[in-house]
Amino acid sequence: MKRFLAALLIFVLFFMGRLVFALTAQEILDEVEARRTQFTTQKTVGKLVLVDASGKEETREMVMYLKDEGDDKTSVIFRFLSPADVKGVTLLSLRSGEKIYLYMPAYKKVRLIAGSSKSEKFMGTDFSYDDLSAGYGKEDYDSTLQGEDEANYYLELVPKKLDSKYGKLVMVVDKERFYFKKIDFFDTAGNLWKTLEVHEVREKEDGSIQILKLSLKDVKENHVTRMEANSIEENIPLPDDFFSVRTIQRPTL
Amino acid sequence: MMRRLLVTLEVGLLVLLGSFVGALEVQGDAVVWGRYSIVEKDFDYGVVIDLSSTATLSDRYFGNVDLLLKYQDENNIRPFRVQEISLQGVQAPWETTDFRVGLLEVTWGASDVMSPVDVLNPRPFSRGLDGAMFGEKIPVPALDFEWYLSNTWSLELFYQPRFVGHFIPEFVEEQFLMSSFLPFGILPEKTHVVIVKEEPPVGFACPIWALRARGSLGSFDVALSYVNGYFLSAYPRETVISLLPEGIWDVQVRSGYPKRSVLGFEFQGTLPGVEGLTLRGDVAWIIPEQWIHTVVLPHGERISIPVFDVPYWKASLGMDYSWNSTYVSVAYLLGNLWEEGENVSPYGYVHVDWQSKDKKWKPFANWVVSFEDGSTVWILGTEYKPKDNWNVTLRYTVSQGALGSKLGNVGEEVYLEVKYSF
Repeated sequence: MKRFLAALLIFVLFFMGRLVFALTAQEILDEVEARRTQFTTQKTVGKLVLVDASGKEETREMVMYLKDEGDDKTSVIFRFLSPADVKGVTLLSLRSGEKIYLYMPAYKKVRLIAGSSKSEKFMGTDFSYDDLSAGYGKEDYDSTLQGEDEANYYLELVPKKLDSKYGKLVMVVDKERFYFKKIDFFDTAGNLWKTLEVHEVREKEDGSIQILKLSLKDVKENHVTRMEANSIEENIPLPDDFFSVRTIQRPTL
Repeated sequence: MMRRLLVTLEVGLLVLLGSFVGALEVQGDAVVWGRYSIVEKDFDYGVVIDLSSTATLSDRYFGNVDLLLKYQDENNIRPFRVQEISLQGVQAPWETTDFRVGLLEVTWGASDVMSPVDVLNPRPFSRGLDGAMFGEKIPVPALDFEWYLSNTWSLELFYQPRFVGHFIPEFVEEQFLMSSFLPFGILPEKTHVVIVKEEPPVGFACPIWALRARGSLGSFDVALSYVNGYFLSAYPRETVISLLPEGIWDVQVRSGYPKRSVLGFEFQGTLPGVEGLTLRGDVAWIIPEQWIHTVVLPHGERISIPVFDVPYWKASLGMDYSWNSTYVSVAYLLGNLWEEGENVSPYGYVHVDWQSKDKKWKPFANWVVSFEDGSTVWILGTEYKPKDNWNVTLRYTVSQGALGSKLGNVGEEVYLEVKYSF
């Protein structure tokens, strides 16, 4: 009897163990994607807080529009509302950065941003033009599950593109609500470069997760950008041509 | 009559928009600058306050006001300037159209330096190589109307019923003319000059107008434009020189603004497979009215000097690249802002800047070379941003080249500017 119970226990533990590791990295990412708040359009009003190495903070208010273009592509309009020296500076990213434009009111014209410029930092923040373009889709990475504990999954994502500025990403995914709590970005030499952390989320009635506060730290430069959303509106009606060079030249958005 | 009507309209717009100012959010810049000319051992300084505001009249209509207040220790010309007063319609009056009407500043062209298609606004006078020289423009009364044919293609109409030329102080114009009279044996110090300028016959029925079609072709954005207008600098048409009994030269100059058509092409884009490079450029084919300067000498001899005879090209073709907070821009210029006709000459332009990790420092270097005579200008400096809304620029300019060369007379100076945005 004892031997039978022991065998049963081993079987149950083995089965549970299989259950615990039942999800593959791709399935976890799919679940993260599924639990991500779904919208066709989104408007976020909030602020960016830039924190330098000495801890000094500078705040920039912003408004951001997103549109899900399908095929894992997103178009973005991002405008600074303050402070005065960057007020009105507006970024347009079409289809996850296929084309990126910058409008600077002082020059009264729209500039197309070059490919390599997309990895440059945007207006003193720690976000690159690519980061703001939401230009990182899960199909861009080979993913593996590195481990898990009671609260989180730990994934490693390696960019498929050989010319990627990142060597790998290590992502911590909340087991219960399937959102990424933290992503460590490593450079191609294997050194930690940036850390993105999600500090506050809202779980909507349908179970989807909306990120309200996050921070991006450039570890190499010891500089942090915090992004905080004051209001988020989803599925707002926007004209078909809203994400265009025409729109970013408007006095108000 | 028409001018009075236009002035009335402008004043009306000013009053209309001015009435909103009390309730408006005003933003702007305050700039204090100083310049020391090492060659002339002369120090200049000044203050510029730029105030702008946008009134939201409805969700589709806006009022824009931009005023400039200037003071400088010398040549404090036009201390108060209206940069823009306009009514702006977005998706108005129709869904597919935008417009601005009023005193406008309009920027055309994709290139970063000396665009030859950006010719709708005249420019103010500037003594040095500063922002006033490259960035500032004089607004013109106009309608700028854009019809969006699709997401990526549009047709723009510019209509200007009153002519406005570059502002050049009379003493500068006289100095320029004097140098051209030296071959006739006229001594500047013993000369009395009278310049009479004839303005072009521009009106509501015969306006300056321009069309521009722009859109996307693959990875490039392109535009084709046509401007039907006039040169913005005055050129002498007839000069009568006589010697007065007291030994003074009397020079009567009748000048005017020749007609011109400008066919322009602008582009900005990337090349597939060439990561990181952006190409930007503007090319203009300028067709001038034939313009002959007739000089009548004291003994009655008439000399004809052709000013504009045949069409000519101007261009600004460049590429830029940025990596690791470093930005490099290289351009080939055919003609600068003031060179026209036979005076158009080729230049090379290089700009490099680098931003420090804490984003506070941005040292830069500009180099311009005349391919015609080898003269050069170096501008070395740095921007410093101690905190949000504050910006300090320090630069050193030095030119090399013979007297009378294209760039040799720029001189040597140190310039400091402190800007506060509010």
